[in-house]
This record gives sequence, C-alpha cells and structure tokens, in this order.
Amino acid sequence: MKSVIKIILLLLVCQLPLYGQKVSDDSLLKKANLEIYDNPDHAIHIAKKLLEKENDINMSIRLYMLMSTANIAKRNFDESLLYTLKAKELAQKSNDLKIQTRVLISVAIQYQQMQLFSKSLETLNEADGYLKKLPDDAPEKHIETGRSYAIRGMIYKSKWNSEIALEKFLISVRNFEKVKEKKTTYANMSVVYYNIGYCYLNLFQRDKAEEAFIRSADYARKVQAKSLEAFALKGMAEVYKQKRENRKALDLLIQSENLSKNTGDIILNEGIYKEMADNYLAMGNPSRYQLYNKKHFEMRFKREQNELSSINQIINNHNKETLKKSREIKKQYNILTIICIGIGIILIILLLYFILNIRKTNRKYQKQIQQLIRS
Amino acid sequence: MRQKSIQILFIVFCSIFIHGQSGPDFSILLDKAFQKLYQDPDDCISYSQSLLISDQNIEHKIILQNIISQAYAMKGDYVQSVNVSTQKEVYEEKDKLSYFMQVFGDYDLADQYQNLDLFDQSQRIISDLLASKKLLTSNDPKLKITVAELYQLQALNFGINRNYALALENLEKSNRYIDNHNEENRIIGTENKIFQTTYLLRQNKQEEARKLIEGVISDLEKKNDQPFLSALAYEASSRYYFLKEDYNKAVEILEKGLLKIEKLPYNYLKVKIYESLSKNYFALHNDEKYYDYNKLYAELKAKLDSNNKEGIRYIIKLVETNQNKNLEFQKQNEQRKFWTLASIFLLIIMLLIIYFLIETRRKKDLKKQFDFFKKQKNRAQLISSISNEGVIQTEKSTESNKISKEKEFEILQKLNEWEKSGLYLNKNMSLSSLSAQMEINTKYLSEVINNSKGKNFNGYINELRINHIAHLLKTDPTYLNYKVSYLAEFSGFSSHSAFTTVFKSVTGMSPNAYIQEISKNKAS
Repeated sequence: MKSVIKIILLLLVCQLPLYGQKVSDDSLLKKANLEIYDNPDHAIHIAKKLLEKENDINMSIRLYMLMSTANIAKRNFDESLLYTLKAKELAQKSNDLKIQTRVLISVAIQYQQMQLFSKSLETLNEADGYLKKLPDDAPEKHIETGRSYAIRGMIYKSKWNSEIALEKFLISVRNFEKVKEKKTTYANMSVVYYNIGYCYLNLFQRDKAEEAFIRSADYARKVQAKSLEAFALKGMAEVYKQKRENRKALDLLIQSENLSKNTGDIILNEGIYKEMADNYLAMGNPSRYQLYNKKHFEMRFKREQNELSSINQIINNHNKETLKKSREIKKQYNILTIICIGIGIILIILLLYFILNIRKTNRKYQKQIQQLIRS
Repeated sequence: MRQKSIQILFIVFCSIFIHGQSGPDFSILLDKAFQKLYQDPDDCISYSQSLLISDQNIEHKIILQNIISQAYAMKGDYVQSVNVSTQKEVYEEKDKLSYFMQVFGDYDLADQYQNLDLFDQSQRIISDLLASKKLLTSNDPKLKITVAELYQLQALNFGINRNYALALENLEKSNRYIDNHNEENRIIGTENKIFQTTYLLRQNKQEEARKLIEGVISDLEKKNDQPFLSALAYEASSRYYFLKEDYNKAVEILEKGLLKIEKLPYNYLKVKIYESLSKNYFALHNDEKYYDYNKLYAELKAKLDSNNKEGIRYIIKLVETNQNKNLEFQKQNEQRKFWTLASIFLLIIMLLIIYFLIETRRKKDLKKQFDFFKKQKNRAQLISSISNEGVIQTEKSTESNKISKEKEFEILQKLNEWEKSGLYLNKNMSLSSLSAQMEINTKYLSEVINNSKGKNFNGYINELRINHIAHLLKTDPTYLNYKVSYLAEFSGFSSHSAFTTVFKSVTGMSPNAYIQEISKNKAS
C-alpha cells in the first residue's frame, strides 16, 4: 500500500511541467531527484545551487518541493515544511490558477506522506477553492480534482475508514473519466481502482472488489505498467483467498510475481509472498508456508530497513561528527598535556640546576668556615 | 510544649525522608517500579514519576526515566518513550557524569534504537559497550544487570537478523550476569528463557524449546502476578503448536495469553498475539474469527507503525543529546587526567621551590658565618691596625661637618680604648653612661658611632659583646661547657632569648650550633 502512495507521488510530481531548461541543469535535477532518498544532503545542495540562477517560477517551485521531499528523507520535518510553504507562497505570486492548485495538491501529498492528515485535508480544501475557479473545459480541473479526491481517499483508507475512502475514490474516478486526453489518466486510474478494490475487500464486498481489481489491471495494461498490473493481480488474489479459492489465488499470485520480477519492487514482493504464504497455510502445506513466510519476512525486513536507510545515514553522519569532535578533544588535551609536561620538566630542570648550584656554594662556605674555625 | 513536639515531629519526618533516598531503600523502590513495568505500564509510569519527583540523585533519575521510557515503549507510544529519554539530559549537563551514567545513557539509546527498528545502530552501540573490560568485570549490581540487559538486547538484534546461534549465545551470556537477588534479575532471566524458546524454534529444535517454555509457564502460573511475561510465554509456546500444526491448541494458548493482558496496554505484545491468532484461525478456516483478529491486528499494527515513524522523528534529538553527553564525559575524563598530571608537576615544583628557598636561606646564614669567622680571624690584625682604620673612618665622616675632625678622632681613640677594656660586658652599659664615662656629649658620641661603625649604639655594643663571647668560646674550651643562659648573662644580655637572637644575627648561627661546631672541630 505504501508503494502505491509512492507511485502516485512519483506520477503526480512528475506532471509538474518543465519549461525551457538547459540540459546540464536538467541532468543535475535528475541527479538530485535520484539522490533524494540516498543522499538527501547532496540533493538539497544541488537544488539550492539551481535555485540561485533560476528565474522560472515553475522550476523554482519544483526545486522547493524537491528540497522539501529531501528534508522528509532527512526527517527534518520543520525544514521540509518551510520549503513547502515557500513553494506555496511562490505559487500564489504566479497568479496562474493551474499552478496554484497543482502546488497545493503537491503540498497536500507531502503532508499525507508525513502522516499529517489533518494538515493535508486542510490544504486539499484550500485547493478546492482554486479548483472551483478553473473553467470546466480545462483538463487540469478534472485531473487535479481527481488527484485531490484520490489523496482524500488514501487518508481515510489509512484511518481504516473504508466507506468514506471509497466514496472519495469514486469521485476521483469520475473526475479522471471526464478528462478527454484519456491516456494521461490511465496510471492514476489504475492506482485508484486498486485502492477501491481494497476498500471493497475491507467491506467484504468481494464481487465489487474483484471488478475493481480487474479494471485496475486493465488500465495498467493500457499503459504497460507492469508493477501496477502486478498490484492489481495481487489484489484479485486476495479476493480469491477470501473466497477460499486458494488454488486460483495462487495462480494469480504466480502471475503477479512474474510481472514484478523486473521491477524489483520490495513492497509488491512482500505483499505477494505474504499472500502466497497465507494460501499455502490455508491449503495445509506447511513446508511451502514456511518457505514463503520466510520470504515474506525477508522482504518486510528489507523494506523496513530501506525506509530507515536515510535515518541511518543521518545517525551515521552524527556518529562520524561526534568521532571527529572526540578526536579533536583528544588532540587538544594531548597538546595540553605535552605542554604541561614540557613546562613542568623545564621548570624542574631549572630548579634542580639552581639548587645544585646553591648547594655547591653552601658546601664551599661550610668547608671554608671549618677551615677558619680550625685555624 | 506543643511547638516543640511539632519540631521534633518535623525533624523525624525529615530524617525519614532523607533516609528514603539512601541506597538499599532506593533499590527496593526501583525494583518495585521494574516489577510494575511487567504488570501494568500505566501504573508503572505514575509510580516511577512519583519517585522521580522526590528523588534528587541523578543516577536514580536516569534509571527511573529509563523505566518510564520502557513502559511507554511497551505501550507502543514511541514518541513519549523517546521524549522521556531525551528529557533527562536537561539537568544532566551541569552535573558530574559517572561511568555508570555514561554506560546507562548508551544502553538507553541502544534500547530506543531497538524500539524504533534501527537494529544496526543498536547493535553497533552495544558491541562498543560490551567490548569494555571494565564494564564486563564490574561488580556493581547496577552495572551487572545493565550488562545482562545489554546482552539481551544484542540477542534480539541478532535474532532480527536471523542469526539465531549468536542470539542464543548472547542470551546465555546475559544469563551469566543474572543472580536472582531481586525481581529485576528474575524478570530478565524469565524473559531470556522465553526468547531462547523462540530462537530454538527457529532453529527447529522443537522439543528443547517445548521443555524450556513449559518450565517457564508452570513457574509463571504458580506466581500468577506476571501478566506480561505470561502472555509472552504463551505466545512463544503457541509457536511450537503452530509448527506442529496443532492449531486448536495454539489458539487455546493464545487466547489464554490474550486474556492476561486484555485490559493492559501492552500494545506491542498484543499485536504479536493478534497476528498469531489470526493466522491460526485462518489455518483452522474459522473465517469469522480470522477477520476479527486480522482487523484488530491490522489496526493496531498501523497505529504502532505510525507511532514508530513519529518516534523516529525525535530520535535524532536523542542521538544528539546522547553524543553531546558522551563528549562531555570524554572532556571530563581528559580534564581529570590533565589536572592530575598538572597537580603532580605542580607539587614537585612546589617542593623544589621550598627546598630552593631553604637552601638560599642557608646560604645567607653560611655567608654570615663565613664573614663572621673571617672577621674573627682578622681580629688580631684589626686590633693592631685599628688606629689606621680610625683615620680612614674619620675621613669618611667628613661628610657631616657638624663635628670637627680633631674632636672625632679623640672620640674614636677613646672608643678604641673602651673596647679593649671589655667594659661593654656590663649589663648596665648604655649610651648615656658611656658618654658620662668619656665625658662626651651623648649626641656627639651617638653620631660618631653611627658614622664610623655603620650602626647605632645598641647594634655596636651587641656586636662587641657577641664577638667577645664568640672569641672566648673559640679560644677557651671551658666556656664551651657553660649553659647558654650563663653565656648570655656573662656577655651582658638581659635575657637568654635576646642573646640568641643577637648571636644569630651577628654570626649567622645560633649559640648552640656555634658551640657544637667549635667542639666538633676541637674534637677532630
């Protein structure tokens, strides 16, 4: 489910247009985009650099959003919010309703990712105001409304409120359907139908769920999105699992596994393995169950650790810095100690020299005195 | 009367209060807090917090806060857990950090890392900690149980990475640090056994696991006051039956475990039980129960996951404070080492300076003695050339033109004669009596003495007396046998102490030392 959110994020964010950019900047930006999760600091660095010479408002907004996402990866939520708000501000300056709504919805996605659901909903409501002002014939109006309701649906779904979520997803679908340029909406449609399927599953409406998953798979096939199709098949398999048609479910899952082989999507695989394990368990095949259960846990562990990789990076950086500081302290005190020993030894030698000298004269005096007494 | 009794009561109360903070009593209270951790986390939190308010000892506070933080973690409230851990650093900074505090701070961080699934970080910290010989060989019970807990945490880290052999090894090590002297030790011991069961099952050593867990369960059933541990043990035991495909028995045991903690907020454990229950019901094709528990599992799991994510947001702050504290500790350590070294050097230097000063004073005295003996040796020659000296001295005194040269010469002649007469040994000799004797004006006499001898009358006469007695001591051995007080009287001093002081100032040594020196030389 997480991955679906990510996919939608990817799809939606990439729709932000790119106008008249130099190739070098473009490749830099691509690099920054790639490094968001692996090396967020570097991504932010690139974005800041690009921002300095950027005049185009769309591009600036995109850069701000990128920095915001990179900061989420760094778990620096305050900073992330700051950039999000900057992007929002910039959008308001642009006076272009389309850009304003697009940015607002991106901001809402950001909030949703940060699990700040109430903030996200608030932003979506704000976006609704702009959406109403858009002319009915503009394709953006329907696309953005569709996105907006899709996010709402996901928020309710993560709150285990399937009825409301379903309602929102259906509105989203209706809006996507209104778009004349159908092809652009297929991927989104597939994702939304996938979510609808799960809502029906949660509500135990298996037939409707199956229908939704079939549609999701259809749309995925139209844009040749294999991973989306695999997700849809996995959803369908869950329907059959509920119906106790385990053999059929397993067939679908194997199909799904084949589709997902090339994408290497951990979350998809995790889901597939879990379903496979469940079905084998239901069929009373413990050895197979053990095998796939193990695979499922491996994937889950991998995913969890992947999600934590950026935080691990930050902690490692902190550790490195601390080690550096600790070394500095050690060095500082080593120098101090050497100075202390040096001064101490010099003083001791000097004093010893004086003392020996004075003792020598004293001995001389003593001898002379004795001679004087004897004489 | 009433006021007095109130006062006494107050004093008694205070003494109880102060006594309440001392070692053995605190460890009893602490043990109770730890016990509550496994009985009811909410109760444990409020109990520990009440202890926290009344306690001033920083080490106690840290331990209590760790317990509170663990209680929140058991509830699945990771944000609070991390926050409680972070809080303590605020008042820690200005205090001296002890070794225990450093170890415990690191342990706490490792614990938090573990709660938030940052296993690699947790493992790294613990490996660093457990590499220290000082920690492993410590006899402090507080440190010993911390080591046991560290090994347990490390075992969990290895278990997560599916390295069951190492996990079991660490649990063995953890057991070695447990001595069952209090509840905390016993609880950790039981927990270790339950974890051992889980890992044995993973290694397919099913019978071994069954024996172990059955022992634990029968122990826990006897006591019946350990809901958390019981539920944990039942959960582990259900895994055995699940593997044996005896799903009915597994369900029965799990329901029993769930019953134990149903009303308690052990959410982390509940998730595990719900998951196992839903799986077993699924295997039993009991759809109704399966959906019920699956829903409970999914909802609680989602809640815990989001708590976990939120907790991670705060961990960075905890990492920072922990690292700052460690740096502070290092600084204090280095400072201590530096100051120890510096004070050793300072001490040596001070001692040398004192010795140096003593030697310089000795040098001064010896110089005086040397001058004195030299003078004494030349005395005979001096006496013969005294008239010449007088002339030289008069020449010096021409600077003051108050007294004519002839008059001065005359006075000096008279003084010379008087010196030879030995009359200065008279106790009553004074400037006025001398001037009367010589029939010279007191003022003239005083001035001539000042000018020619370079000292006032008292100094002049004292020197004459000392020179005389010193000469006698040197030349006539009988004088060596006299007491110093007699010598003082003999040379015209009114007191023993005055004689000693003047003698020392003239010769550079005390009369006794002088006598010793002379007799030593005489003997040799």
